[in-house]
Amino acid sequence: MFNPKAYAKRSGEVVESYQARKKWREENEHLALPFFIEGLRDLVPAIYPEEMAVIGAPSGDGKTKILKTWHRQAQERITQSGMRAITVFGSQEETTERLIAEDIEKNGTAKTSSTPSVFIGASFGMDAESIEDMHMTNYINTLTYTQKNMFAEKMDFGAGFYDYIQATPNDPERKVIMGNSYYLQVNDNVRRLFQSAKTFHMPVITASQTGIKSLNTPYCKEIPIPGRGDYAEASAIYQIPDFVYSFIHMRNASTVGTRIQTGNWDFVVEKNLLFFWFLKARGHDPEDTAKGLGRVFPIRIINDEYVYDEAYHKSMLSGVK
Amino acid sequence: MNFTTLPPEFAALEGKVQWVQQINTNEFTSSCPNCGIEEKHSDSNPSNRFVMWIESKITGRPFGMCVRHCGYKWTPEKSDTVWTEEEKAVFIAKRKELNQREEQRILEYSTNVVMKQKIYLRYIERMKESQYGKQYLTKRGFTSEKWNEYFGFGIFEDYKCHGKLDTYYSPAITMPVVGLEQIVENVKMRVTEAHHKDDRFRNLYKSKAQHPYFPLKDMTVKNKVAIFEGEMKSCMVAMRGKLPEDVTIIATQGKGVGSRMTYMLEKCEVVYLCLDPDTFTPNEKGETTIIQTAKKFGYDRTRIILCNDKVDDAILKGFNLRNAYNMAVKPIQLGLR
Repeated sequence: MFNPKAYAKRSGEVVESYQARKKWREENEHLALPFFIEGLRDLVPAIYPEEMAVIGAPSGDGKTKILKTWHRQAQERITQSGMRAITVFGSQEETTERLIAEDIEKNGTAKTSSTPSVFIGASFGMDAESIEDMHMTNYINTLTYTQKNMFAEKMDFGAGFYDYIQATPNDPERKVIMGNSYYLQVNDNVRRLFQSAKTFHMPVITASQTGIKSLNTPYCKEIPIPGRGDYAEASAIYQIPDFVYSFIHMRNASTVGTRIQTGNWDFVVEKNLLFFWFLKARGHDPEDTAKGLGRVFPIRIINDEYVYDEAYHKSMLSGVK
Repeated sequence: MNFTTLPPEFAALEGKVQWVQQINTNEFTSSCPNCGIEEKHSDSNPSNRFVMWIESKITGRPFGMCVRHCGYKWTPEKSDTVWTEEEKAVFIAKRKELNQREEQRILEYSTNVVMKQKIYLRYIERMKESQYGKQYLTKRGFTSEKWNEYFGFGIFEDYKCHGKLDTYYSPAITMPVVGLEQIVENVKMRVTEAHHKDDRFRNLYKSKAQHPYFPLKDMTVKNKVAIFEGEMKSCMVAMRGKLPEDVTIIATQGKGVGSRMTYMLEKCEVVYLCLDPDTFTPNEKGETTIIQTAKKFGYDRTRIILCNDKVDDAILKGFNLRNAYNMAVKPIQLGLR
């Protein structure tokens, strides 16, 4: 039943809750998940429990790879701290076995089998109907099971990763409410995923595919990083999350070796070059806590790590060379 | 040990029990007619789990009971496993007394024989000169000289092993089996060139007792304990396992968790078990060692640490025991028997 009292607060009450939240954030900085590109951590704020971030990129531009990289960092943080927590990685994109194949290749089965993680998704040999069952309602039910029933005691979630919004099967139960509208189902899924960050008190990172055929508001024609308008497939994808990051892998937007001169930019496309556009950070100030907000950064993948190098960045700007 | 014959009041148990001993004029012990005549149940070696009184304190009549987990009771009129409150109290008191008696016996043996002879010190000295011993330890992941000294690894170069298939000489890595309060209860030997897998481990002293091993030389048992299979595995865990400091690391000798250990840990809040993968394989009855072991401690307070490999090998390959400890499960969550 709706309780208006919970929604209407006197200014004094709001101040109190603002201060309590600020204090909590200061005291629990260790629970926040730092941005996955180390060189940008001063410019892109960490994600606290109950916050959600969306990584947007066109199909094939490495959203899954970014999620996996970030996920490994989250695993490492939990392992280093020794705290009793796990990460959850839900995938509609790959089987759970495929998700860890690279880790096994790199680190062997012993290390991989003891990572503090639960993987949620289809497994090898699962039939098509079972795969379709992993819609948002069942995904959230699985999170509840994981937290409450999978281990000896209730488990904390250090971070949740979800790959990816548009790949989520339609929920037949919600269809009754939403009808056949894909737009409404996607919006509903985003809202509920965001809600899961609150329910399970964890930072949630998810990915979203941006326009495949064309972009509405790219950064520029030559560097077509998806902009705000490219999340318009379902407005919630941009509106609901606390953070939105856009990426483009330049080798897919241009040809390796091509020289690009546009605006202040003057550079040659390299195979490992990406651009990152920091689009949204709710509750943050670009002058203070999110200095990178609105800016575009060149990123390179070096030894499987996403690297931002300020000197390299400067070398790509005309007039600075 | 001097064995005797059953008193006439218990003649009906003739052929069903073994190793009858007279404790005093009223009390006898033997193996249990219900659970204790199989060799594997002889945890006190020989088993003395069945206690018989010619005149019971409660009824004044002959009464016998198994003081281990089977709960069997015997009187000339009936035998069953249904216990009255009075019987339970007698059972608990008797079990405590037996356990204390066993502890005392082990303590006396350890202090009067093992620690007096200090034979393990001789092996430690020999290890200092032994390239073979050092190489063996390195190969097993014991690369820190400080830790090796702490554990007291030594070497017995020409140990005569009475093996399963033959008798032969082999080098053996030795280590003092340190019990609670740093009492050296035995000397463990790892036969390095064993001819059969059953020959790999030997106790130097035939103490006829279980020796829970405390690799970190604890003086007391903490509220949380983690049990591993074998002394060397527990050493690896102590050295590289990064378990929280409020957890006591204990090793069993082999897979068995006997009555001495269950008694020793009866006040612990949580018991973590990390046993070898083969303990998860059901036997012909569909039962697994891991669950049967958990049963001895009680399902509610037991947690199982899952590891796909033997834990020492796994740690050397990068297995993070701390994570696995944090992700431990309850026995019931495994869906095994």
